[in-house]
Amino acid sequence: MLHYETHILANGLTVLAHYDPQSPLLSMNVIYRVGSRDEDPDKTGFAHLFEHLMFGGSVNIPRYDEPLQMAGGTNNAFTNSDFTSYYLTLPASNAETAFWLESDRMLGLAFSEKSLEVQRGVVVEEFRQNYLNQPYGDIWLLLRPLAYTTHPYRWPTIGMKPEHIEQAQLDDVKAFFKRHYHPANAVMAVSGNMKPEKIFALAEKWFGPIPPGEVPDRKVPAEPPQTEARSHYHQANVPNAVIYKTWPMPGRYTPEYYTGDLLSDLLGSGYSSRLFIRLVKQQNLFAEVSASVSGDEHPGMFIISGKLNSGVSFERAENAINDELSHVRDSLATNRELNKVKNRFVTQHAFSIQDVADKAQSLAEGAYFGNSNLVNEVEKHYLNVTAQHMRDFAQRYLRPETSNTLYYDHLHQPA
Amino acid sequence: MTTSTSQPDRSRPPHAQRALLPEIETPETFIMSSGLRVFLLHDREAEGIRLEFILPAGTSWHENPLTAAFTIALLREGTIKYQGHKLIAKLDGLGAFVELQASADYAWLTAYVHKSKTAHLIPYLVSMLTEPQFGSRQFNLYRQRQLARFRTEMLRTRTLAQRAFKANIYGSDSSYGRLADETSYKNLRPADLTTFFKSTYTSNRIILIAAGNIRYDWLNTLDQGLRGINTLKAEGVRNPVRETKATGLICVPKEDALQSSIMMGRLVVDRLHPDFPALTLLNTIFGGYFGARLMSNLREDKGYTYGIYSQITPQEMATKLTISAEVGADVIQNALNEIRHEIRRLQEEKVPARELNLVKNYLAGSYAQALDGVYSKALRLRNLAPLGMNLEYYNRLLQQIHETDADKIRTMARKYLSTNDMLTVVAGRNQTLS
Repeated sequence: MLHYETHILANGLTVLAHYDPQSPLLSMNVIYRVGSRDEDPDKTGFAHLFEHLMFGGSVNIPRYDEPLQMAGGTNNAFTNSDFTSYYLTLPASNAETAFWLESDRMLGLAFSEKSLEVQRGVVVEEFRQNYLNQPYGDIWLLLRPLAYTTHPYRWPTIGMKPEHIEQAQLDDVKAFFKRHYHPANAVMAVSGNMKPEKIFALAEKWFGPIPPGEVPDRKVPAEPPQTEARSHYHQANVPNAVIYKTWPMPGRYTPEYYTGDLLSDLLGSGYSSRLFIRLVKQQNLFAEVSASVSGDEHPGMFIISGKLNSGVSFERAENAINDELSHVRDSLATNRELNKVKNRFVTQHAFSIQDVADKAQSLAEGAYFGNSNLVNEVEKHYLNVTAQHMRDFAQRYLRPETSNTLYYDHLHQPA
Repeated sequence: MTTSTSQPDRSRPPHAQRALLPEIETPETFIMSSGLRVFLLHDREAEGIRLEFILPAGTSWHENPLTAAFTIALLREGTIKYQGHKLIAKLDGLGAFVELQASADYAWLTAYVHKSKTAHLIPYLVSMLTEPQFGSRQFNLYRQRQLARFRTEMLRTRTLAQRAFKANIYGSDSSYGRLADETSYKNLRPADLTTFFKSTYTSNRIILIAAGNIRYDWLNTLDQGLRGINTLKAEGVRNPVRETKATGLICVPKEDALQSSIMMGRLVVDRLHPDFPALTLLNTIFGGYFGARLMSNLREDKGYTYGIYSQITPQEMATKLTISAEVGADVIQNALNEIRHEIRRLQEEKVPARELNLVKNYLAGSYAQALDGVYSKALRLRNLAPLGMNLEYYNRLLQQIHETDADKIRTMARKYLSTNDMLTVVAGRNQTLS
């Protein structure tokens, strides 16, 4: 049980505090309600580029990292489709430095044209390093526009293409900050060796005077219900062909999400999962196979992927996957299987909230999703899933006519 | 609570002090009757238990560089008592996660399990460590999967650069310098694993680091189970790393690459050498953290790369210092020039007092983080315990780092960062570089 207290400042900033007297450290996590889904389709990758610029200097602090390192702290940030998270950890005795740093860049940015130019270059290199210069690296660039026709989830966080990042202008950056970066559009969690009343007093002192902003309308075009299967064929210089299949499923933290997540574990997580046993070990069709859920806030993806052994056709591989899907639609999982995936969840959960940084992250994410207490409730939701829930989920969502399939082939040697 | 609307003084940072290392409680350590050496990190409130078995059975202990990695990996594929697939079904049924890895020196079996299931897990771990089967069907499937991964790895410029660096810096005839290729996969046989297992997996050579809510009843069960492999066997022999220095520039061509991978560095002194603390500090200033010289210049000023770091990797027979980055193919020469420029600055100019102070503070804070909680401590201990060292090493290291001055750092830079003594490997599009 993770105990915490909540305080909402007059300007709208939600602050959560968890007291951990065992640790000499303190961790702060600020989530802004902006992700790549809030981007203009002509300017994708912008939320993530902006995250880089948040380190380029604020009103009173020319370089964010320097005073933090001076205080013995470390920090980082990440952007996903739904939100952007900034986090730092430092000795609890230097906690005020954290409040000073994070409040100053919520107050206003002061970076230069040069810092924008440099970070455009850095992000383009990141794009190349992780997506373009890697075998199989472009899979998500191909898969997202296949899985979504309309919703902004159709592009990845890094952006549709490097050109979008190269075109980002200073005015775009300023407008983006004004719209999304203010107290009412953020949640903050602090975990560590400091009592909640002290945390709230520091939050009032440093974040309290920041002017409130207008909470932006985050309405995005909804994905229309899918009525027929879609597919895409692609060839690349890779050693093995791979297949990716996705199906639309409910968003994160809806009751059905937990069912979908556990069903994906049952099908394709670990060496005793159904897909691994049947398709890798027994039939020897795949070198590897897995199933997962994307975990996005809006309706997301149920994903099955596999690396085909050489000589195996896409047709045979896909038929084998489809047979397993028929099986989960037609029959109930055994108690043994259900207990296994729940036991695995319980272990993962125990190890996922270890240190002050994990705790601050869990609390901030819960607050973002509208339930600060999520970290304490999530286990119950998973343990309540039944075999009937799983079969119903498979029947409702894992249907042939709502599937999207990427055939990612290796280049064939000329005969 | 008072609500303030006036602005606090934001013009200067609040007072901050250097982090003190938390008092490091020495892990409880003893040798059990099977010869097993245990390190116990107790946390009565922890829900999860992390059990890590460390064996001196890494890739350098066999002439085929795949043997050790296959041996540890196949421990999950069936034992005499829990044949074939039954074992995995049991492990997964308990909700346990078992990681099996090998480095050049060691093989690791790391289990993550809920405290309520630990006693049930012990017999399976014992069986894995004492009576694995290495069945040929499981072996062939695993080899097929690893070969597909290997072929993918060989398409990465980073892998190509690392391989060329490794073979040259250690010498391809040393046990660290041998590279796996397709032939290594084809030649490997299940019988090789059985032989390797029998000669290296003995209980008197195993170290266990346990973290969490540890109970002595299951610890005793474990000890009894491991007695079966308590036979002292002849130590294996490794080919040492030659003292000859590899220097110069090697280009590994990969024509379709968008970026080139740089791998640059040399062998340096090990943890026990008196220069090591100052070298650690120098490495941090040079490329060991986000604000380091290399990052500030090549990323934050020039935008050449997503990241550039230098690091020190201690291993039993040789310790290396390496600089690595993925850089746009059009700016690779500039990047090399800037790395050399940063080295020259460290050799010619003294590090300013403010920067030196910042890095010392940063290191104090990052060690405090790295030693926060029993699981973090276990991660640190895994590198020290096999060398007979313990966590108080970090107190000494940090003390010596704090005592290091700017003169000493410049001396270290002249002694260890000379580019004439370094090997540089660039993998990527073919171009003339200097």
